[in-house]
Amino acid sequence: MSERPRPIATAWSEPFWAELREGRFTLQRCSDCGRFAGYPKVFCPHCYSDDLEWVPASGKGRIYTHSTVINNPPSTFVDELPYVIAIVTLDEGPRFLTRIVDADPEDVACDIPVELEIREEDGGPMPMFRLAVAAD
Amino acid sequence: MAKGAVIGIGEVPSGRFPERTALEAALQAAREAIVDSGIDKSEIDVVMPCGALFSREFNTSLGVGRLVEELGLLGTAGTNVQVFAGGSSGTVMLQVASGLISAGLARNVLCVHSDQLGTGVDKTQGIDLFATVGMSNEWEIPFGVNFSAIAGLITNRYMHETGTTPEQVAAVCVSMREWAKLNPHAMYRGPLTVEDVLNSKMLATPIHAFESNMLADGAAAMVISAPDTAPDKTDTPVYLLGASGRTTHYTLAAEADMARFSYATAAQEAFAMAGLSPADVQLAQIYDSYPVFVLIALEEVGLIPRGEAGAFVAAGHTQPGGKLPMTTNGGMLSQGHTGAGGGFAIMVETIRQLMGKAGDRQVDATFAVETATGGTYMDAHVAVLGNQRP
Repeated sequence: MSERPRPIATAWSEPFWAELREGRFTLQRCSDCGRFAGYPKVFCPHCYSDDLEWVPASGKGRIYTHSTVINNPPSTFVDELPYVIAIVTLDEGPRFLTRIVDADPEDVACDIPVELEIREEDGGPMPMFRLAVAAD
Repeated sequence: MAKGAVIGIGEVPSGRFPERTALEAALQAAREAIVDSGIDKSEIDVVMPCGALFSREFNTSLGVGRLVEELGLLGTAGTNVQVFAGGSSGTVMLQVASGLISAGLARNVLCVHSDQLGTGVDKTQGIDLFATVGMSNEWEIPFGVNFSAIAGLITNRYMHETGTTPEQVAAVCVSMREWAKLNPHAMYRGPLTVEDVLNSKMLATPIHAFESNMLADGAAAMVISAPDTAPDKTDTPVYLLGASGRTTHYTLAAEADMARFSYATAAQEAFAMAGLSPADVQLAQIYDSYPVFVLIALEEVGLIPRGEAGAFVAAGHTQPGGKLPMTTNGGMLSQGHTGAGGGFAIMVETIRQLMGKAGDRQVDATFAVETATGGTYMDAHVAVLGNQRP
């Protein structure tokens, strides 16, 4: 079994992964137009400014949608079945594809709150989420 | 005003054909399309191969003139240019070819797709290829996502917003199969019920194995010409009357609305261009690959009210004899998924129906709407076609 694929970082996304290794989840925000870039970009995709700054994110969000992988995963993920894939809308606005960890798949649902959980994997940390303890 | 006219089509059966190479399949489909068009092959001045996913070597050869040489078009074909837009390739190639013709830069364009995903890759390679092809190696692949999970994410959000049931989603597969039973080129033609679908292996919730497309070998081709002179070349020209699209993500997380995509905008623009409305079409050739895209497109294109497509399909209205014939080749769910060719085959089927050449599954239609989407459903493309010019 070959190893599961690690994120292949770019020169402009490396600060995200460096911050994550320090336990911080950060987002690029444009100093000119004030909008978030989503995952790290070369320049602001909204106004084309080069002036992107890294800001700490709350690590809180809600599940936009989810799917639990049961069978026929990519071959390097067979040992991890079943696992919950989700797209989370951060409180700051951007959405990320991620995993929901330590949850019964039956408890995972659209629109429920989640919190960041940085998981140490072979080769480095991954930004994952867990169900929020206190629902509102 | 028609944008382009399709004057010839060709196709080989989809399925698992280990003895048939992708090159041979491409050539057979292309020859059939040229013969069907009624023009001499020397009148083809642009050859437009699609992208093939199973082999980088084969794909590259298509970009550098292999079909021109093998089809005996050396010295007469002016341009060989590859066009690839994932599952939207059929629609996009028809748009690009029509644009070249409208601009006076081409007279007759040959579009060809061929791929060998059924037998040209082994099973593990096939699963891994489709787990990762086109996805981000930084923001998607490392989490273990694959296309079944991508479809699961979209289906769950759509069901959450509309209340559509698993039985209604499964009914899309049954509609596809009922049409495939009438299509000798389809990969799967046996009986299929909603219970069969829901009892098949769960891949990624809520997607069952029978709700996942099957990788297949296949090839198809079409010849596109100028609308004004097409009737001089063939008795059965089919006109591209309107087309539009929106590209709404590369990574799925960037999609603004996963229960709608942008079919509504694309359809409004395509129908306006055609001078028609959704009520004017008698045939819906909707891209499937997974059932949820059918339900979303039926609603957003304007054929069925929001949230009601599942019940409409479950009632059998899209099956043979129903009031809205839909995806009459059986789609990727039954004809088979040949990479970019899944959508290409649906476009060719749209044209075949409007030409009156669909055999046992022929429907009575003057105007049709066709949809397509590629990648992780990165775009929403809508085309309006007819065998008359409104």
